[in-house]
Amino acid sequence: MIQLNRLTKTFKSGKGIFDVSFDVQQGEIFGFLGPNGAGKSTTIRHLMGFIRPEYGKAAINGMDCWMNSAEIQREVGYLPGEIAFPDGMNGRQFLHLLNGMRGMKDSSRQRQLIERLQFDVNTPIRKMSKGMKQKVGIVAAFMHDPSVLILDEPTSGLDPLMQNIFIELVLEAKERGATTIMSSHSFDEINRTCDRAGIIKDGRLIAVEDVKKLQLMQRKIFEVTVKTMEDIEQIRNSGLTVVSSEGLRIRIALQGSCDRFIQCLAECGVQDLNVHTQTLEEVFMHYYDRKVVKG
Amino acid sequence: MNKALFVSSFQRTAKLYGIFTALILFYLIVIIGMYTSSVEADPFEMLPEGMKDAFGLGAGMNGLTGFVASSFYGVSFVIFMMILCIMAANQLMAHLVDRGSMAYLLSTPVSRRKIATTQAAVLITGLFALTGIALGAGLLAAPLLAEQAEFDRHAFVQLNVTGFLLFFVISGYSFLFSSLFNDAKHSLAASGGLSVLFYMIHLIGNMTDNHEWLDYLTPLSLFEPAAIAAGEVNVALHAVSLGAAGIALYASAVYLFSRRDLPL
Repeated sequence: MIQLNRLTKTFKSGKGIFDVSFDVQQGEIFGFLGPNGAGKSTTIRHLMGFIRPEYGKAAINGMDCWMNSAEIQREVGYLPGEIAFPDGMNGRQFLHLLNGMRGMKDSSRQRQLIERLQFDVNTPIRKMSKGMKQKVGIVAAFMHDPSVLILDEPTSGLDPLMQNIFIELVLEAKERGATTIMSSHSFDEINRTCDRAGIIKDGRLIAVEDVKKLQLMQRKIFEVTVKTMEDIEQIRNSGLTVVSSEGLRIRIALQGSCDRFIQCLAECGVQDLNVHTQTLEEVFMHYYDRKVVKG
Repeated sequence: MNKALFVSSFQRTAKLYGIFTALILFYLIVIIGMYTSSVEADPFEMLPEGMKDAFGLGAGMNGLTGFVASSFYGVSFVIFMMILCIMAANQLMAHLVDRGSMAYLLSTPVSRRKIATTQAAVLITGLFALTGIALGAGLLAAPLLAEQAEFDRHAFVQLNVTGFLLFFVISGYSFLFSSLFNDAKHSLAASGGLSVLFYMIHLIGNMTDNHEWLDYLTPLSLFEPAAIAAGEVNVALHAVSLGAAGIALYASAVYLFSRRDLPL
């Protein structure tokens, strides 16, 4: 379980995080979103005990992240946003070092993960591509079956196939009861894994929402090319939200159910259909802006 | 101390230590060999008095030990070892923080205090091994290469023990800077700058007779190879002072590293 209580840290530049509070329950996957420099990594660094809070407290499994940082690591799997391994080693030596530092004798899970991610663990680290380093990082984060996962932009640098495997790993950990916090830019990733998501902007947590609720708020823009101008008229009169139209092409915004849209299209001659999905960040920002307007 | 980390860090610094060990052994043996050919002649005869004093060559030559002490331990040894201390200390801490790989060490249940202690142990073990090897090589090579020479083994051991303790102090402040700075460049600049400063003070202090207070400003004044060879120094007192200073420096490095914010 992860608890953040009024966590505050101001850097010399005036940036930082301010009054950040949220809980991640056991077995929950919490998505953490925000633009670059918003404070995602700073929050995660507090959880890892790299920096001391100026005010407030971060705790994992009831233990203070600063005071008991070493103790906490027994149960934590961490994937840094910018992976840097000690130089002059290959993947196997690095994982062996971590195994040793964790006092682990059994490396069967490690071998299993390497096989699943399909990479040559004997490659020297300096010769590894970004994606390959990411795979080594994923093995390091999962090899001790941690009950808490802290993942900073975990799928950057992975190809779609590997992203799928990664999501499977996170979901398997959840089934075992693991608590996860992951920062991400990918809507798909958050959509498929997270139960709740929070967004941070300029160091302040501005919203925490159920991902299901966010999916309902997500607008999809359909770009339809029809056969005749009558079809355009028909769509305009159907009560759907039309964003714009140009000749035989019309853009329709959809939120939630698609039934009415499908029914309407069934009566038209459709030449072409394209869909643009809002990113989760756009949804969040949209939602946040509206909240501000409403006061 | 963490065994896995110790082994891994030792392997990664082994190359650096290896190069310096080879360099120092080469110098040491060449110098001992030179003694045979030049017998009792003073190779620094033509140097002006002031310069001889600056490099601590003024105490004169007391047989082979005195020759080795003044021509190797007085200058080259100190400079090589200083460079090694600074580079190794930087590699063991600041470099890992600068590069970000420290994050991985801290993501294990090994506390910061233990990580810093382990890295310090790697640094000290390397220096200990190096001076040990130099001592052994000297003791072996002297009777072989300079048969007729008068070689004071006892003074040669004292020379290496005090030498090791001096580098315990120099590596101590290098390790302290390495533990304090986020940027490897800053750590290098601080420990390099301080070392150069200490060395300059040492040179000036040796050259002038009426500025003895300068000796208190640099740890190098506690290591006087030529005087040790001549048996003119209270070695025990110097050794204890250096040892205490080294322990204080390492202890504060470990303490401060475990308390500070890390940019990982």
